[in-house]
Amino acid sequence: MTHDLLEPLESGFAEEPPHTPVAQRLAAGRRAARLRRRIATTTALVGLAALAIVPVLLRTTDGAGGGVDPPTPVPSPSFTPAPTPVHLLVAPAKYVTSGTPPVLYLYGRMYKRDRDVTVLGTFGEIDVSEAHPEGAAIVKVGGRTEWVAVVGDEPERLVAEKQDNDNYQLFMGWAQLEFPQLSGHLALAATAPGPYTPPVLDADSPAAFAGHVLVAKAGGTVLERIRQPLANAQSVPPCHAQAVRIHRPDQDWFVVGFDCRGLSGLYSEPVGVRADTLATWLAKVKKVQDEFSG
Amino acid sequence: MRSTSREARDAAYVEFVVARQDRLRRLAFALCGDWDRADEILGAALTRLYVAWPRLEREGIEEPFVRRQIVRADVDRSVADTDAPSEAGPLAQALLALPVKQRRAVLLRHWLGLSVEETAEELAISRSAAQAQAEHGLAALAESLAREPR
Repeated sequence: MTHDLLEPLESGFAEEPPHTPVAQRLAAGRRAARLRRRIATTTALVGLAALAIVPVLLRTTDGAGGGVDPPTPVPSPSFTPAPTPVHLLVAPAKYVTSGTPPVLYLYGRMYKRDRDVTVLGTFGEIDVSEAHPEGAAIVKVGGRTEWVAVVGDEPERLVAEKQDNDNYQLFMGWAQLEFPQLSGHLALAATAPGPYTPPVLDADSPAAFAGHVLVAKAGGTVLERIRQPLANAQSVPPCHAQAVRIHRPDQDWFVVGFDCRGLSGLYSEPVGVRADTLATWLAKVKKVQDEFSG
Repeated sequence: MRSTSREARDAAYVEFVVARQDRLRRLAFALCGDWDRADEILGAALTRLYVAWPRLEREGIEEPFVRRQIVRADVDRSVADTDAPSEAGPLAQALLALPVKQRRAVLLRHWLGLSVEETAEELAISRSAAQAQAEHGLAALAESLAREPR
């Protein structure tokens, strides 16, 4: 057996189909780059909103009734009731830039940015070896304590950071809100077309998530369902993506959306606008998503 | 040459895609055995490439970046779901019959010609594991091909 596989392997590629047009590749890249810039802007706003919401959510656990349901607990392999120093390897210098957060993921493993970062505690996945990990850490950098939530590997990572104290319980509450927010942005990018401005508000959609299942609202019936549609590199495993066709007396609808532990996003469109079958509609939605360049 | 504008970036990106897409898609196909899935894997990798282009171009690691995205893509599903291995030649079919870890190691080590160290880094595994996966994979490949009717 020769070690040279080049010749025999390449002889097996005689019947190659044509490539996707380069313009389409370019459009997909531009769209992703734009999305990334938008996310970077909105992440800061989301972080501020989370700051305001965390104390409220923590207080609702005493059963006063009403209010917002607390988020579903996330599996936390590194859970501890109080921060305990965690040893993380220092990331190779070639992966670190001036914009790198104190902790980062490289191929599913969490690293610290440099030796000046002391990791006091972690929450979530710190070594998963999977696409789109999500984890958080309390770190000390230059005398300051910071909370850092990271979703996704470098260089695709989304991150939220805030300066705070080393209260681990508050940190967990903050991270539990950040994960679905950050993951949701990636998941919606994987399901909705183009700039994903929904034709109707989610509140007016004929469908809604009940648990992890996309169901019809009162007066409607689900005729067809596709689970995990349009899977691509941006989909996020913990998020449940589904597409349904819903029959209502006045009109049928297609709806595609994601649910990330209670936070959901939908894209709803009447049947006939883009296509007449769910599979065709999803294919066209993905085409718009891939080609969007406006 | 470092790009200084979006037009230059796009031109360099297009030039890269046109020059490398054949080989990169073949790598994806050799991993998953399905041209549609291979195109999807390549597309996802190229999209990530565009997003990270300035840094990758500056460091001159465009192709290793895309290659790494491809070899780490989820290919188990494709091989299990597809009827497509008949599209491939005997060697490619034998490759697709290997466990995915061995398949990745064999392709990197013996098709792309990476060193053991480079293969280990690409797959985020130890040097000894990379060597073992590549050697076991190659042995299994030879055995599989020896059984092929000639």
